[in-house]
Amino acid sequence: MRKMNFPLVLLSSMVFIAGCSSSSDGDTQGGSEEREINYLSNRTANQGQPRIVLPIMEQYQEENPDVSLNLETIEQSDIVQRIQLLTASNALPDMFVYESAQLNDLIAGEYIVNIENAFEEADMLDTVRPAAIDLMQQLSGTGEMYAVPMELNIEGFWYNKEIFESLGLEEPQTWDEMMEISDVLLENEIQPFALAGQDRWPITRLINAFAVRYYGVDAMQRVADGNLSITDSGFITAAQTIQEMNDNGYFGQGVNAMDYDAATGSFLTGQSAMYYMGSWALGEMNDENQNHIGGPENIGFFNVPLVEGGEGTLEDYMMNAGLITVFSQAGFDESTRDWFEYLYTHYADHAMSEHGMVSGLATSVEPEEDDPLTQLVLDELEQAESSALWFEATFNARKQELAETNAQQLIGGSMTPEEFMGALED
Amino acid sequence: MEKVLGNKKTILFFVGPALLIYLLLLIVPSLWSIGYSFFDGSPIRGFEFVGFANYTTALSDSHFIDSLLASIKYAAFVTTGQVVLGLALALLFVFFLQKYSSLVRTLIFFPVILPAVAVAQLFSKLFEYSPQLGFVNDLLVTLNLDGYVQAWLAQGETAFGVLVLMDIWRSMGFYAIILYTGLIDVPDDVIEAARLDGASGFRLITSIVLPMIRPILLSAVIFSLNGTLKVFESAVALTGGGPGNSTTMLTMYMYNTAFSYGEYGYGSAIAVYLLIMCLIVTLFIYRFARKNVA
Repeated sequence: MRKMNFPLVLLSSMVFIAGCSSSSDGDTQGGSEEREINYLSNRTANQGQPRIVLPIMEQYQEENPDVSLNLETIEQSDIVQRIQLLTASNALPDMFVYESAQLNDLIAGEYIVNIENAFEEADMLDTVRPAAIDLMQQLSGTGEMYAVPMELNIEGFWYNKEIFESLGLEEPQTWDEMMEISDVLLENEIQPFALAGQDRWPITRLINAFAVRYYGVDAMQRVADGNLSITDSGFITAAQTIQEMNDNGYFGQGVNAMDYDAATGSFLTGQSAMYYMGSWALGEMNDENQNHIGGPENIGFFNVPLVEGGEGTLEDYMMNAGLITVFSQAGFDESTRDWFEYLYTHYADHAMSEHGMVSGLATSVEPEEDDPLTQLVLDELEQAESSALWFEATFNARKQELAETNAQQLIGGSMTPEEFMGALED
Repeated sequence: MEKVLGNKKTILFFVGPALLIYLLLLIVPSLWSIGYSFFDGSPIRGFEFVGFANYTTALSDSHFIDSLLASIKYAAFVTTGQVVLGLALALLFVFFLQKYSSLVRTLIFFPVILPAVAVAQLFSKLFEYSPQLGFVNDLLVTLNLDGYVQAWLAQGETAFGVLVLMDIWRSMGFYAIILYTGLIDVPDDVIEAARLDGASGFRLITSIVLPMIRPILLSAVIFSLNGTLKVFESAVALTGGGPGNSTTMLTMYMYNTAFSYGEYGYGSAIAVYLLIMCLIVTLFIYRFARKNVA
């Protein structure tokens, strides 16, 4: 017993600790020939963007067998935290998805590639849709594009054509007309709107839609720049309008308990007539197992209607790029650069032909004939002259949480429009 | 054996590894966190020493105060419910269900071993409002109490109530078992003597049984208070802190601050406040217990 000494215990414990500590020192710089590109996403290999990127890599490998792509999937809510830690230890993945509102630290520290320059050097900048460039430039807050618009969604009101036709209703041009339509629908015992209040952001999207029509497309940008106060009367009216819409029963009962799936279901089973959502919901609308209102042919779309006396026009669209994809500067070597060019030469066509997905890159293929909604989105994109960001796009994480949390209280009636906007003032 | 245990090195040998792991996994991160609470910044921007600024910010942060009050309110309701109902169940086991108590104990203990997330799913279905009415609302309709049908989890007050109810249901079995072990230690002859002296029912319990299981009752209260002040997963799973911030507890605010907002320093300061709060509560109850003994 006596001979067992303390240093030995200490030593064995230290071995244990060493085993626990980080073993992911990143062997990316291994051989000069083999290159493994690390790709961090919130989607798995057969979802979202990776299901388009991975097959392109297979194609690429036919000529470049030494390059491979290593996809790692993590929860969306963990991305910011993970990337912050990886940044601190200089181990950023070569390409990764990120929350657009938190880009500024990565840009300021020169951790990520200036995508606008990269596209320009590859002579590919003209393949990016102008609306997408505009959106990406707004998102980075620097006037330059730091992320690739691998997805491009327009947002607006989807509606049930059959219900509209049976009641002799037409697409509204103004917000007031939309309210009149809602009253007609209520009289006929149809819920005017589906709204996923439990997910919170659908509420602020509506507030934003009104505000953008009131102040024009750069409403939230002006707030971020300090040229417009968020407690200005137009914003108060916006919040008040959404609150009244709920008080009138336009969103049905128990909005705050309604999640995304339930709201989508309500629209796709004909319980509600209109649904403000982004075009990412096309997947559900095209899914015959979910769409019980006569398929995609029965769904129409109208842009956010105008507000009386407002500055916004019907050529302004609410847009969204999903989670954005950025490239780390440290990993942007010759191999990655070559892969980057190859990927974005082929990405848009793959996305469209395989999945009917619209990206911010121009495509040379047409959507399938049985996919009228994708065609509709493309047509609307053609008309888009400028794009507006969503309500929280320029907010930091804390303010975003505040806006979304309070939005539930606003339509629940426990917060006034003045309090709602006041809380968001700096 | 005594000789072996008398040797300091041997003691160290036995205790050392466990102590070391304890130090590494518990004490070091705690100290680390306390250290962080004096800094501001993120791993990307770097950290900057700010002294007690994080602590003073908290005092004027209405969200901190709100979530602190929510935590205290929740702890008060749930601890009372857990311990009182736990005690009632334990008394039921001992005095009324002697023969069948093992079956009943198993049934009542069952929710304790269920994961919080599963229980939250169960309750959100029970209190569902849309797309279809859950069991509770259905029951109200059946009983012709349509006026009470509501979106329970979509309104602050009722969501809080459902959360409290859920956590009491989930863990009262645990406290029933703890208190039960105390109760079966109460000697039968004492109770018999008290009965002969004419004490029965309520009097018997308050004058004889409760004083005799006092130490274990106090442990149960301390357990419960510390557990409820640190509630996290059940609130996250049931309501996610909403609607609004009606069920956002201090722990969730701490988590959001540190990991969603990336304010590691401030988040750590909130964690330290939580630590202090738990310490105060525990010390207070100990003090209270000792005074009563004296």
